[in-house]
Amino acid sequence: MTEAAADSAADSAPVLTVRDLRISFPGGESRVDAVRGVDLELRRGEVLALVGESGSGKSVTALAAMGLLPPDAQVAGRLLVGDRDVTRLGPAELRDMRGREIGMVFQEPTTALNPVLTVGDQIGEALTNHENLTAAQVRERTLELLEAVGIPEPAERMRAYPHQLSGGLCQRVVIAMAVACNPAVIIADEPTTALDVTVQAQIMRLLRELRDSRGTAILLITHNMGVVADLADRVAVMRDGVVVEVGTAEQVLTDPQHEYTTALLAAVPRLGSGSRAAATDEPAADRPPTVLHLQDVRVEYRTLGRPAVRAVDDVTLAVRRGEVVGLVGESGSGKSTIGRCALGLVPATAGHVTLLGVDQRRLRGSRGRRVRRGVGVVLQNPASALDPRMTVGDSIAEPMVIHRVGSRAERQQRVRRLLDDVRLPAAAADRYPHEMSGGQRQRVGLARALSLGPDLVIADEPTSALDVSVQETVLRLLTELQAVHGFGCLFISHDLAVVESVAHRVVVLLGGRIVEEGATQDVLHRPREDYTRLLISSVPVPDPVQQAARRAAADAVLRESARALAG
Amino acid sequence: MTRYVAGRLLQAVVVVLIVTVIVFALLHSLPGGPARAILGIDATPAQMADFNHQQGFDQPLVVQYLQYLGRLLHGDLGRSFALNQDVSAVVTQRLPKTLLLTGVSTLVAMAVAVPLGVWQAVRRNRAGDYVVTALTFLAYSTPAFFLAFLAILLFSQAIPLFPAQAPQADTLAGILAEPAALVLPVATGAVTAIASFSRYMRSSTLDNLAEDYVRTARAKGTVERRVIWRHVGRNSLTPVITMLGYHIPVLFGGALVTESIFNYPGMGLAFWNAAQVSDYPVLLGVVLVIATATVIGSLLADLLQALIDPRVRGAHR
Repeated sequence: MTEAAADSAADSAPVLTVRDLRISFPGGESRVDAVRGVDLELRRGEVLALVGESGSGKSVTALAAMGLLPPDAQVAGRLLVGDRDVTRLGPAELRDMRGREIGMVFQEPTTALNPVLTVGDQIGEALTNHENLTAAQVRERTLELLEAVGIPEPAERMRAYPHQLSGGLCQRVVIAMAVACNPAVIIADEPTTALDVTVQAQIMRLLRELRDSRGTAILLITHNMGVVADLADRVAVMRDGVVVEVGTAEQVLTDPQHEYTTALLAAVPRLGSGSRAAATDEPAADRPPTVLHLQDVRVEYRTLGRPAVRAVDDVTLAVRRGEVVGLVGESGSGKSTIGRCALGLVPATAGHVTLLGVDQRRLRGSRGRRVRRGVGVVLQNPASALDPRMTVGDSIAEPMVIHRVGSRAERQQRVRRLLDDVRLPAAAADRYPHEMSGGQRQRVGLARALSLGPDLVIADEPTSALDVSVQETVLRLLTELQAVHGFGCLFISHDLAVVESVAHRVVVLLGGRIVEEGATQDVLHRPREDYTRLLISSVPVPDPVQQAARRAAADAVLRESARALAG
Repeated sequence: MTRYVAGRLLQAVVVVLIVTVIVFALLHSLPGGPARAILGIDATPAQMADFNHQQGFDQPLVVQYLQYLGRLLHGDLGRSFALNQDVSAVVTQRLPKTLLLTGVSTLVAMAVAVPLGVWQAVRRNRAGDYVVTALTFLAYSTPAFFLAFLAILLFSQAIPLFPAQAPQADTLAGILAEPAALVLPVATGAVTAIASFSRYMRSSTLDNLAEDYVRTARAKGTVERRVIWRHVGRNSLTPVITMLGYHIPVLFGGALVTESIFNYPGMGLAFWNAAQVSDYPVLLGVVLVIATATVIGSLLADLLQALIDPRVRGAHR
């Protein structure tokens, strides 16, 4: 055999093999099966995406491959990293394997790093765990790693603490730790989910580069089909602990065989799949009344002895009855602050906020209560937005109780009608939030927001904590209810595709300022500003061929703006 | 960092000033006022008015407060008529001894409580954890004076290992020359502190063990011992250190009991004796000193925390 042939034989041997993997956890009287017979194979230089919704068992499979499952988990089957079976290794062997043969990248980069140790220390530890190096060698290798993952000014950043770095830089540091000892496999568990789209695009680019330059195999765990299309060679779709479909990315994404995959892909909101038309230019007199108006609003956060941080800078926007205004932007753009300011939770430093025709500053006492009756709120995390000690019925009725609306019987009747509106059975009124799924809880949140028949609903990332299929039903519900009840809605989201599907008009924010605004189809399909264009081109679409083209377009936008900056 | 320290120092000074205002107000509300206390119950109103004029007690309160503050700055805490001694003399004589006793017993307590709490957290819900939890609950709920008597009965009377009385020397060196006599008072003070601080350390370690960064450290193949001590230990220590700062008044409260039982000539004993003869200048002097010590303690705790946790430093930059 020639050397080249030997190489290719070594290349074709799987670096990670999963055979009939079964994992169960203790839960109540019997054990809960999280993974029920999974087979996977990952080869050198390959990116295998493991996709599925929450509870599908994809993260549990990943943790099992690292030997990081909690001690009460029962594992059966074979899990080979190289030729060693992880399920049979002792603690010392496991420790030796982690980092050297298999590395891991986590979802939340800011909490994945130890807050009291410098970035350099933490990367250095990944090296010294497996190699005997002098302090000078550790420093040199750490610098190389920081450079390899594209961190500017590595010598300074080495001495920085995680809280001094942005989420994107933190994720690069976590990736640097994962590849420190050049493992054959990296498991990336939702590596870009916590990041902004433009940063997500950068991290995906980095992972692709590492795969190409080092031949590292990547097991990519994600729920985002766009990320799959961008990065994966092959895809395994998981549901309820089993793999329902495996194939090349192109095959699975464009011609899915299993009905679950088809449904999953259909639920993914796609940018460019059409939007709701904005109100046409009717004569001013005929237009519905403005329910929320912000005029030159500025919000500053002050801390003693520090310059004020301007979160919102001279923002003017209006929401009319019957229209949904999408507020999009990345983290730190001020979109949530605007929502909070509209609700009066954060005072405006300058400018005027007019809520249902009344100046925010005059919303005190009984007048304030009367105006607030007309405003509903839906928040991001339905699990923490509902009082765990109140039944769903009590939660929905609470706004009516506070505003002394109706008799007890009338309120109960209205709760039943609201539950019906959000497609929940009347029996749900007696249940507690923890007995419901995330999607059901968010529908309860929606019902509560509509409890007093509001003229304005402020929804802050109402679906970003939900699975795509659940997100789809909640969004459809929201648009239906909005069309029926005709309330105005300020819809805050980082997800352009979601905004496209619900909003009539879109406002794009960057650094607290409005970059671009207009009818949804104009802003998202014919953007005028570079930033909007970059934002749109950074959103990965669930089609590998299309996505490759979009990636090229995004790179072009970046190059163009770099040239514009230089010129 | 410098800015953080300066800001924190300024806060501390403000708090101490507020304490002086309260103590001043208390001094002023003494029954019959200082004139009655000093001249006795036989004094005529004329004599009292005369005395008040001489001492400046008829001046506006603000002026009197500023004068009081001025005297404090010169180390004048007033005069104890029961002891016929300056309060400041009592304090300078006694404070170092109390600091020695509470300092040593706190050090001992931390040296035991921190590893114990971590050990328990790592062995959560196993036999060892349950046994230690039971013991700490027992220690926590046992009154200090009972514990002290028990210690004397067991280790001084039944098994004569240590003397029942604390060192009586006037100087610190003299006290340190009798380490055996310090064991029981130090241990009595330490046991309660161990009980509460090992609980803090245990729950703080448990919280941190569930953090993402622990999983990251394990995922790169870090030895478990290192994960526990380098990663978790340091992060778990910060809330415990904060508690330590606020624990100082409790320590003094404990010193009150231990000092009077072991007859240790510290601040606690002075306070105990003063309380029995209603020697208000000494009582309020001690209150002022302890309040100041608490402020300094929490200041030190914050600075220590800033040293451990870079985010604390950053927040005030």
